[in-house]
Amino acid sequence: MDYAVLASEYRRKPVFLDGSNFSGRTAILRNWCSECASAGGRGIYVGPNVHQSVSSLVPTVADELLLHASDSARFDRLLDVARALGLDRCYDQSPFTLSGGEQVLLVTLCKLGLGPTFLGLDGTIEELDRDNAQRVIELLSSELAAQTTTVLTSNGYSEDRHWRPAWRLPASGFDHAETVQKRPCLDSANFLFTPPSESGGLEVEDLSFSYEHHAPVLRSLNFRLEPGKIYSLEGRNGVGKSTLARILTGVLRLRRGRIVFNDRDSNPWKTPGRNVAMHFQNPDSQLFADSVERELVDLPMPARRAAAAFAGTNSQLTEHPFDLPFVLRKRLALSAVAHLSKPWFIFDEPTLGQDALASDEIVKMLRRMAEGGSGVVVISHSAEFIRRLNAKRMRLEDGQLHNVEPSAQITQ
Amino acid sequence: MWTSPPPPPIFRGLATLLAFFGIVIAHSVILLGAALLGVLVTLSVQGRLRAFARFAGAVILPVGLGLMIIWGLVRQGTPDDMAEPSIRAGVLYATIVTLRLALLGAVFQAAFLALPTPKLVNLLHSFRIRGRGLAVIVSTLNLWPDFRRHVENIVAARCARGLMPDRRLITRLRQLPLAVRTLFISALGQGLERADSWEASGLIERLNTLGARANGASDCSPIAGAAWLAMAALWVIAATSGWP
Repeated sequence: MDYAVLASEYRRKPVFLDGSNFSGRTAILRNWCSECASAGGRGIYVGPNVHQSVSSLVPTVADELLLHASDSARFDRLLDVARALGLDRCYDQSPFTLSGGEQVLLVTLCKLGLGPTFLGLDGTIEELDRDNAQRVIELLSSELAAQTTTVLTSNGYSEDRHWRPAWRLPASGFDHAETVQKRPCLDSANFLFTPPSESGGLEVEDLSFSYEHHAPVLRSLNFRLEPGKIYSLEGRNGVGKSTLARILTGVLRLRRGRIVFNDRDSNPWKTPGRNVAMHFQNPDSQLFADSVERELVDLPMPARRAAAAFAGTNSQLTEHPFDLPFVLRKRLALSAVAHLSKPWFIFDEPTLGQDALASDEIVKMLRRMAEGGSGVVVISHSAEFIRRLNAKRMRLEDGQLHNVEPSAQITQ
Repeated sequence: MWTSPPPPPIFRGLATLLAFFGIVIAHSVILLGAALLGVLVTLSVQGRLRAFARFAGAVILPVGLGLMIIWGLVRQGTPDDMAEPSIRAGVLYATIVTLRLALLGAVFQAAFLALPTPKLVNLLHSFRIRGRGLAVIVSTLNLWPDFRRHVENIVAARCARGLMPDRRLITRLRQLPLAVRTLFISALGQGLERADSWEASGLIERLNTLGARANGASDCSPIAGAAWLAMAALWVIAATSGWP
């Protein structure tokens, strides 16, 4: 497909660029951005590490919107959309403190405010809940995107794509696809599970939490999770799923309530990651070493080898993790956590950036962990992924946890 | 919050320069301490006290402690007079340097960082700073929160994998070398990538527009400017007179 044809025929009509991991979609989007710039237009690429698209020039969400769109005639309309998306309650926050989904909403609005000719959204829509994904598609088809041709990519299962693009374009039909010679694959056969030395239930009593100067995120939560099972934690963007996970892990301090592990009081803040390990949504927040090998150095030797093989990074052991593509960074972060020996694991959007084949391998891995005696909690917006996991479903809404299925053992 | 009319940009810049000059030449602990107290009151009125406290806790306090150890206990003297060892002289010297650093930070925060971004950009505009230079300065002012975020991420990542067994001071200090190394690589790498995207997105142009649109000069008061200058001049006189 010639860029000129795409740009002229698909304004206000979001195009979906279909393909698997390493099919060259990123290269295609970046190339179209360059072609757009060469033709005198403004081409903007937003990658899956969406925090990188925050300008970092201004301190708050309100300033970020102002910077991007204040001189455009669409500014008031953009502010209306921001309000409808619930971003107005975050106006005084730093864009970096927003949840992954909220960052996607903010960045999409900001980039639209710049009035681009071409907008490439590479995998960002995966971080949105179903309603917000639909809203973003509507936004990209609205008057606000009158000059813009948007091409988006999305991974995971096709069953999760409830939104309808104007056109579906296979990535395999482009020259750029040929530039990827070797495709590292995620293979659960390489996964080595080490059972925890102690397993037990995870119980929460009267847990409440609010960020400084903000409304409560979690209100008096009570639930008990049993080991050897897989739970899914669902809810809208910014509802507090990751916050709850971070409290259980000990990354955030428990302000009110009690956490009980194996019928004993537990203070994760004092001993973080002892009973519960967590995989973050954003791999760039999880990786801290200067090579792939050093990233895994804290694992025992057999697990270390297995972790590198599972992530498909065996041939890149000496490379800096930040030099790997997003899909591999995500796999590496996932593998580094999954190869720990812990009673409980929380995985925040583990399938982000992963195609259906890789997502299936993650399903197999999580099942093995649960069968081995560890408890697993998965935070995901992918209904199909949760269905394939056969997870017990919990939904966080207005600071309260609800059973989605009667079988989930959540005491209210 | 601060409601009095702001001084014109040129007065603000000049007064700040004078204040910095006074801070560098002041040698009295009492004078520096009193000035710091005064600026802290201003920061409190501006609602910036908490931000300064965080900065002081993370930067000024460790630096001050380090200076105390080096000049008070190890060298036992000042750089000008090492002939007779004196713990008192060393501690006094370290205190003066620490107070100067704290005061420089506090004055900078009160004079510039308390401004909303559009006003700050407008102020930099009036100093003839535009284009890439403007973007670099504005982003540098956001560097501290960015660095803090990166350090928090690294600690959180270690916690989430159970690699920080507890939160004792010694355990947290052990994370420092790792945090600093990763911090520079990731923050610098991301900074460079962002600078490219500013160009591609036309954000530098937008920043200029934002500054130009902020109603800077018209709502400024020359009287407030004169007051700022007078206070700064008094401060310099006090600093040079050797009082108290």
